[in-house]
Amino acid sequence: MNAPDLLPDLPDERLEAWLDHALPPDEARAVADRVATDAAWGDAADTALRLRAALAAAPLPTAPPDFRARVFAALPPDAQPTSVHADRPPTPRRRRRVRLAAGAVFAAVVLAVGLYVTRFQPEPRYSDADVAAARADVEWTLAYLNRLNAQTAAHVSDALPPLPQPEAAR
Amino acid sequence: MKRLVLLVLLVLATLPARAQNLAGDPGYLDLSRVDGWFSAEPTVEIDLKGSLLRMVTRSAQSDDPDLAAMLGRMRAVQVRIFPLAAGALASARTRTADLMRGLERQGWESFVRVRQDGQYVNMMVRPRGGTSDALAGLVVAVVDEDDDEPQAVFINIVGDVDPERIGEIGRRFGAPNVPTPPRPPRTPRRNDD
Repeated sequence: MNAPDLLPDLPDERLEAWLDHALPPDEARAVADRVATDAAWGDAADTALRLRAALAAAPLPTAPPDFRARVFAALPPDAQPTSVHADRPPTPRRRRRVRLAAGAVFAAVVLAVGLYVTRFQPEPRYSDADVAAARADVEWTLAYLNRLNAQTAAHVSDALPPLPQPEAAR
Repeated sequence: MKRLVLLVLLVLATLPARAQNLAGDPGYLDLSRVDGWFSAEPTVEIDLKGSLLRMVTRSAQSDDPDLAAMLGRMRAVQVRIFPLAAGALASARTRTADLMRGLERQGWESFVRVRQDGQYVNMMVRPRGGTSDALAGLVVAVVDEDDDEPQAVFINIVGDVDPERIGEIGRRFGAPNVPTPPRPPRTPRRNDD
């Protein structure tokens, strides 16, 4: 008695693509009709689906914790990987870090360009007369504040009661 | 990707704020809020900030380094002087007192308050806060009930200004006779921030 063939020959490569949901809709409909009406296609599809389900349900073998170290230890010195991560496909965490780093670089570039545009725009030109008039405004404002200071100081000293005279001065 | 787009939008949103953040400066007082109090246009209107203030500072560096040093610490100088009708004096005093109280609630500190001989003078400074002694700004409000020319004066200097230093430097530019003659009306110049 021969062992059953676990990997059946599929009658058409389109059947495998159909099982992978990789066919365009019209072709997928044609294959589905063929599976429903052709016994050979139907059996092949059932077998393939059962195999896929069994494989999906099978427990994943796990390597012992020191497996990786033992493999590297067994390698000759010139075959040692330069980084223990060099041969590993990127994990979701590493991919997230890479995306974050790329985002940060992009944001920094946008910020730098924005700062350049907003802060280092050429200053509007004012004529010498404009600058002189503005300076006169400033000087007038300072003179006004100085006068106000002097006035309020006089008001304060007027409002204060006279200081008691020392005995010796009487 | 959504987070990246959000980050970029956030960065872009902060750029105008950085460019035009004078309104967010703790020493800034928006003097346009007093415009509506008076029926007349201001007789003096000074709005000096941005590149024009920087050019004035540069112009003073050669002949008046003290003035240049003081201007270098300023971000804006604003002045409004309004003529007062006789019937508007009480209202101007009340509104100015309300304004001063509002500023005190925001952290401004009154250092001169005079009510005598028809003059109502308030001077306030706002400390920048923290451990620094620096000031964020100065506000002066005057309701002058002078018989000939009653007027209301509002001055805001944004920056680390020392009132005593203002007096020292202002003395050089002459002490205008009392009362200060109002300057002719001015059209405010466009400033760039």
